[in-house]
Amino acid sequence: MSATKIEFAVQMTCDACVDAVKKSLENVSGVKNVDVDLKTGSVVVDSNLPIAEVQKKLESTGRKVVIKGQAGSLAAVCILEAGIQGVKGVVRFIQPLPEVCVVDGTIDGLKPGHHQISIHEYGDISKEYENVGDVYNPSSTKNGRIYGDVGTVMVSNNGRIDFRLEDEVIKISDIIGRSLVVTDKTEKPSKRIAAGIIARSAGLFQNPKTICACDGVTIWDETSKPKSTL
Amino acid sequence: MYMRDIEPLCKTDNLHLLGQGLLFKQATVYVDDPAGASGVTGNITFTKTDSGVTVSGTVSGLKEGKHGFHIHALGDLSGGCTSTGGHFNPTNLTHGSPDDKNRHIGDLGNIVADASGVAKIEISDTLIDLEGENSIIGRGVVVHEGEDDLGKGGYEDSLTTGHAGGRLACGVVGILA
Ligand SMILES: [Cu+2]
Ligand SMILES: [Zn+2]
Repeated sequence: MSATKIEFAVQMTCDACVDAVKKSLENVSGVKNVDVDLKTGSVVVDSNLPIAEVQKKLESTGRKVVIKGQAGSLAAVCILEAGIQGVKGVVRFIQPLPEVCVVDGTIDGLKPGHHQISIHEYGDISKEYENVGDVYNPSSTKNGRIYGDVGTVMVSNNGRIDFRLEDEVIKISDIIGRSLVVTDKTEKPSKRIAAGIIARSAGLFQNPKTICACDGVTIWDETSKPKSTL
Repeated sequence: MYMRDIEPLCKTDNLHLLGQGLLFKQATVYVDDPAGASGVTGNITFTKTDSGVTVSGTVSGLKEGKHGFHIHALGDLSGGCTSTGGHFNPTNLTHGSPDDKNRHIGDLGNIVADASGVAKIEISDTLIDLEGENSIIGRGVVVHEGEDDLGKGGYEDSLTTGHAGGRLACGVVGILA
C-alpha cells in the first residue's frame, strides 16, 4: 500500500497541544510519519488510512481539524451534492505515485449494503443524473475493466462509509471536470443516488490561505455547524 | 471498513494520451451557496469558439447592481466557496479588467443584476480556455457580493481580488456533453 501525505490545520496553542496531537497518532497502524508545526497550526500525516480516520484521531484530542491539502502535483475532490437528500459526502483523489491514484472518501446517509462508485463522462449535474452520460471509458483497459468503474464499497449499519481504494487505471488529469456517481446496488435494478463534479483541489502546502481552524468545518459534517461563505 | 474489490490493473499506454488528446467544446457550471445562506443560484455555459470562449447564462437572487464574477483556481467546495482559493492566475499577474493585458486569467469582470435580481451573462473572453494551460475545467466559478473594481479602486485588495467582497455563490466547471 502506498502512503499519502495529507496536511491538516489543527487548532493548537501550546507545546502540550503538539504532544497531544502527536500522541493521538502514536502507534496507530498505517501511520508512517507525523510532522507538527505549532506556529502554522499545520499537521502533516503520512499514512495509508482513510483521511476521515486520521481526522477522527486528531479530533479525539478535542481540537477542530480541517484538511488543508494533499501531496501530489494534481489533486482532486468531489463533493456529492446532487441526489437524494440526506446523502452527503466528499471523495478525494490523490496521486502519490504516477501510476497510483488513491480514491479516499466518506459518504453519509446511505443504506447498508453494497454501493458502486463510478466516474461518468460529463460534469453536468444540473439535472441530477440525467446528464452525466455513461461510465467514463475512453479506451479499453488491459483486463477489461471499464475505466470509470472505481469499485464497490460495503456500507455498514450506520449508513456511513469511509473508504480508501488504490487504483492503477485512473489518472487525475483525465477525470477533472467529470462526475462521480454513487449507485445503490441493494436496489433491483440498482439506483443512482448521489453525484458530484470532480474538481481541482490544492496539493500539499499549496493552499495559501490559512483556514481558521476555529470555524473551518467541512460543510456536511453532522457534528459541526456550517460556516459562512465569506 | 476498507474494501477492495478491484484487482490492480496494469496501465495501458494509450491512457497517457487522454489528458491532452480530448477537445472539450462545452462546459457548464451550476452555482449556489454551499452553506445555503445567500439564495443566489445560476446556470452558466462555456462554449469554445474560434476566437475564445463564450460565457452565457443567468444568475438570480442577487441585489441589483454589479457583482464580481471570476474563475477561481480550485473547484474545491469542501469548505464552502472559501476553498476555491484565489483567482485563477497561472500567469502570475495582478488583478484587472477582462480587457486589460495585466489581469488574472480568471478575471471576467462584473455581472449586472437588474431590479428583479437577475443577471444575464453574455461574455466573450479570449483568455480562458477549456483545455491546456488556461483550462477552467474543474475550477471554481464565484459570484461576489460587491462590485469588482477591476484593480482600479485603490483598496488594499484591489489588485488581488478587485475588492469584490464576500462569496455569494460558487460551483465547479464541469465537462458538458
Ligand atoms: Cu472571485
Ligand atoms: Zn483577479
